[in-house]
Amino acid sequence: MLLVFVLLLVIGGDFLLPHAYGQSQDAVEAGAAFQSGAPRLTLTDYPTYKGINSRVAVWIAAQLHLFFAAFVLGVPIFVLVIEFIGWRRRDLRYDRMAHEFIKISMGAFALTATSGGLLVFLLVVLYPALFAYLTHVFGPVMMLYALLFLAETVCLYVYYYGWDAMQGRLKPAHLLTGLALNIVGTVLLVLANSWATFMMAPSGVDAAGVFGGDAWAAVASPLWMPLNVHRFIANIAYGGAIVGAYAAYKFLSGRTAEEKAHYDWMGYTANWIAVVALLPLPFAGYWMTKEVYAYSQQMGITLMGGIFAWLFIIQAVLIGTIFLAANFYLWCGMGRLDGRSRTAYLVKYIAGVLVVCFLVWFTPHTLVMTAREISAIGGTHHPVLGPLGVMSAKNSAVNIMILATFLTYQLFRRSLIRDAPPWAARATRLQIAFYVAAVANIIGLGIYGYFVPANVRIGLSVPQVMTTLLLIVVCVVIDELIAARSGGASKVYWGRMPRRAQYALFTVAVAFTWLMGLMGYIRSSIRQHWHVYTVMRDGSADAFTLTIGHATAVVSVCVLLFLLLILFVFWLAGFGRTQEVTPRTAAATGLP
Amino acid sequence: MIRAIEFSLFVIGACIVFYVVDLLFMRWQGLTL
Repeated sequence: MLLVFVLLLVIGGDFLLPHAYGQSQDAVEAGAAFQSGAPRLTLTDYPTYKGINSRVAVWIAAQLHLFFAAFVLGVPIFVLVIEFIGWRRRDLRYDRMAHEFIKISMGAFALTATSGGLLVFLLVVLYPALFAYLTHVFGPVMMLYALLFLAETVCLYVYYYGWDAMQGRLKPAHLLTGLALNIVGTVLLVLANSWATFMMAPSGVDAAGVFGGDAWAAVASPLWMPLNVHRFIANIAYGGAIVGAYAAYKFLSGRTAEEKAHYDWMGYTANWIAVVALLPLPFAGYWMTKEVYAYSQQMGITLMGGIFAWLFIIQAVLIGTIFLAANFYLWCGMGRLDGRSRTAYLVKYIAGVLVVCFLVWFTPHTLVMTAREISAIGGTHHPVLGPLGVMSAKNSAVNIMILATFLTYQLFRRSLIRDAPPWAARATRLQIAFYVAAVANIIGLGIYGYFVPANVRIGLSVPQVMTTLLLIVVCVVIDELIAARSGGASKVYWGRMPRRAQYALFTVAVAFTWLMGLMGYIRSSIRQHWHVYTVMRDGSADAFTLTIGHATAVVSVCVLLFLLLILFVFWLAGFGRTQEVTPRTAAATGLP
Repeated sequence: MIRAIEFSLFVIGACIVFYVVDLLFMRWQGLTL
């Protein structure tokens, strides 16, 4: 395969260069077809097949491809980090865990390619004019994508199959292969993103859709970089959530204490990765939304103020579910420690804070009511709860939920410290003071937001976020200083976890999948009746926005299909299992 | 009592830190509190 890649580079060097596109006869003809811009399509331009709804077919194929692609691109990122930690600490357990994580993504890799192939075939067959136009603009980028996919395959195979052979002296080379895998994977991600963002916010073409010939200009859409950042972080979180579900599945089906200890540790690590990557995700989302508004206010209002606004309520419910489930898992994890944690009594208060914030977050701004209900309530907004339905309240709630989740994790981490130095009590009081001031600042800025113009109100979300991040940094630094000067770490009894905690990991994975499907639908559908926003109109019979019920039903079908396929991948990972090294003791104390 | 005073000072100090952060970021965005 590598040979083919090299041959292509040698024989067809020009073939890779963007300027070469358009010089062949075929390319000249393809270009001529779009000289006057994007085609104006009618119903006859869309082949139809009895019993197949073109939009739903492409939607399901694209969504399944995205689920698998997000998973196989996210997992190698933290696998490389875990492998690196294991190599530096000379701890084989990390190495084995990283190997097992990548093994799961191997099964998913084939399904990523298959669903990607299915998507391309469906686009060619069902939306030929749109695909031809996109190929006209992105031809060289697509060529590069195909070659990089080949490189990704090579890197992944070498990385996975060379795992045992490249130990010891060859470990740095193996780590470099993992780095190459991640670099290629990230480039693949951003190239594919450019097609989606071109359709949302076209660049490199004029108002009629005439392509200027600069492929880079088409790639660098105003929404490209926010989507890149958002998807990159989300992929890590998603990868963590799915391998967490795998660990839970293996924990529940594990027969020996060693097996349960290993998969408990794996589940803890996966949940940690998912939560840590989830924390900055709302802020990447804010940036993306801000750029949508900056590009087209109309598109922004469709997104946040129109029919799609209701989907954001569902989004809040799903993210709230993730927070509650991840926290519940961490609370259960306190049972792994000797005796009762001194801080366990705080859990009920943290749970209370999470629930209150959760309720604020999914309070709708405008309620769906009958005329009689509106007159009874005195308007479309609830007299008491109405003010909670705006971003000032929701932003504050999200930030406090993040702080509460961090506090849960911090309590577990602090419980591990044995023989803390004498100044630790004072340092803890300083941390509590920072929590008090941070929550006061977040709520204060939230309340202040009700009294200022919209542009200032939106700007207030930045110091709110910085407050959250600063508090986390301060607490982590203080905790690390205390840990460094303590008498050591307490024993963690991995495997001493209730079965119900494993179902929390399943909940996190399912909620994440649903969330991705839902938000993907929103992102794509705010183009409304355009294939390429304001440039190429959708002339098919499906050029309308679906009802919320219909759209969420299709998203749910995608989620169910993915879950069935990922169960197959989990089964496959166990089916092809060879003899593996289990952790040395059940009392291993390794923490990420 | 001393602990309470110390804790109050910590809270005031932390509030000042966050207030400065607020001011810096608002200024960065060209806005005023």
